Amino acid sequence: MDNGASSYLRFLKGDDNALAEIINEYSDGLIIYLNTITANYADAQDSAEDTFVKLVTKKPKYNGKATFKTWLYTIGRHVAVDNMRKKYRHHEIIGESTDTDYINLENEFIRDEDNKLLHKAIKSLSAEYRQVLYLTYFEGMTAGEVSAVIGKSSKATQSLIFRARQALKKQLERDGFEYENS
Amino acid sequence: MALNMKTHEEMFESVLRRRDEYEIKKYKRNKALISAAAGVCSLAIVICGVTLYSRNNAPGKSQETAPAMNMAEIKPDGMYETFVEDETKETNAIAENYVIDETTTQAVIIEETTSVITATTKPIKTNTANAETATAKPESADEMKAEAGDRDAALPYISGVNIALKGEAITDAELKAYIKKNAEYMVASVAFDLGKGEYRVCTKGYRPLTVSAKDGLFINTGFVDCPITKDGKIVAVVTVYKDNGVLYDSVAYGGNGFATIQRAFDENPDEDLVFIYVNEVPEVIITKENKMYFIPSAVGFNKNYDYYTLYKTEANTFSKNDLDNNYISVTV
Repeated sequence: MDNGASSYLRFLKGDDNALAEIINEYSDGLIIYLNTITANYADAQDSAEDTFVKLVTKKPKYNGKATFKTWLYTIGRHVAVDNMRKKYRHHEIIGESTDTDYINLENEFIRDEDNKLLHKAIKSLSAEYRQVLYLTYFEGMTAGEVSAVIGKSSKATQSLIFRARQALKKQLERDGFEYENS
Repeated sequence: MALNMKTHEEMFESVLRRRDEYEIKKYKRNKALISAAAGVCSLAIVICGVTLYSRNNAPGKSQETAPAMNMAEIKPDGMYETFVEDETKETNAIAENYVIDETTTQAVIIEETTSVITATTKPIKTNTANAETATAKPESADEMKAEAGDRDAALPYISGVNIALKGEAITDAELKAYIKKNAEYMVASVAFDLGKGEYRVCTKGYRPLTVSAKDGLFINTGFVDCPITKDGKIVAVVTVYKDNGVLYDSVAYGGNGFATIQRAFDENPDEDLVFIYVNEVPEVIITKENKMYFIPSAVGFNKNYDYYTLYKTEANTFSKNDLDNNYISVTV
């Protein structure tokens, strides 16, 4: 059982400190991931908070079939998509995150310079590509875990990751990135 | 775009605050739902009450189906002064009393457990009935059905209709032969619980007349009840029945009703007693004086009607002499 699952079980038994541990451990990554969907830091942060609120109010059952992070991100994606739909209904304009707080968060979360370049390139891709590439490269998820988070079949996810990599490669080439083996 | 980046602590506090708000909302919502449900239930109860009241007081209905009245309310009429509860009265808690006012007289319904109520008034009607036909009387079956309605507990006075004979008839000879052959098995099942001793299985039985406001009068001749005694007391009743030409039996014991049957015999040793079912469930034993023994609970009856004569047939008549003089003895 990973730490997140252990903390969540402790929270279900009434330990609020365990919730603090979950937020400390997962909120930054979740916000950045959700930002790949919302393309707006404020929305990503709200969706992340909504995700944790959903955990503490609905107390969904974690069955251990996926890692806690995968499970949490799956909930987060649903929450973010719901929030996006609500915003679209209210004709709210969604723009790209440019807030310095978010940039600081990214810098804090993605320390490696090459990764920063990679992340910058990813951000220029479509939302669908951003999601799978972020989960693959920055969260280290397998194709199976990614498919669980984004709610697609394994085959469709693999195909999506392949196409996303192709798109990323082109983008990196446009940005002047040089490959070690080229 | 101005944003406030929340720290982990702020997000934690925010999540907990929103959880508390959610819990408060949930509590209020549940409270509102419970209040609404309680309101709906209350309304439903009121509607049921009004409906029942309306039905009981409908213009087309006479006082026959008036709501329950306390026995004390009718006592001044002197209509049931002749009703005397026997010495078992004190041990039998009366659960509910109410009155059904009929065309000319009143019937008293007393619900109690294993009780005896006597009606010593001289009958004003002397109807006769036998197993084949019943003498035509002014009251029609339809009228009686209408009077009795759905009150299953009431003892209808149904005259002027034939008594239907149902089932595969068991002859006395068949019954005696069957009991002689199976008495040991019957007693064995009883003795397992009631202990060793000498048991007497009566080889003569009675076939109760079913009196039903809905179905009229009928006797299932394929069922015969035969008492089983031990030390002179009825401890069980074996029902012998026929199905596709084959006889079977079912022994019942352990209930309070056997004491009532025993008391009926003890108190009326020389009389033929009439056994009837009211709508097949409550069993009533009627003496020549129209004294009623109810098993398991009392039903309403009209003290001025001669139920005994009306419902007496050869099939449903049984006496203490029959019990004492027709038996197979089995000692276990």
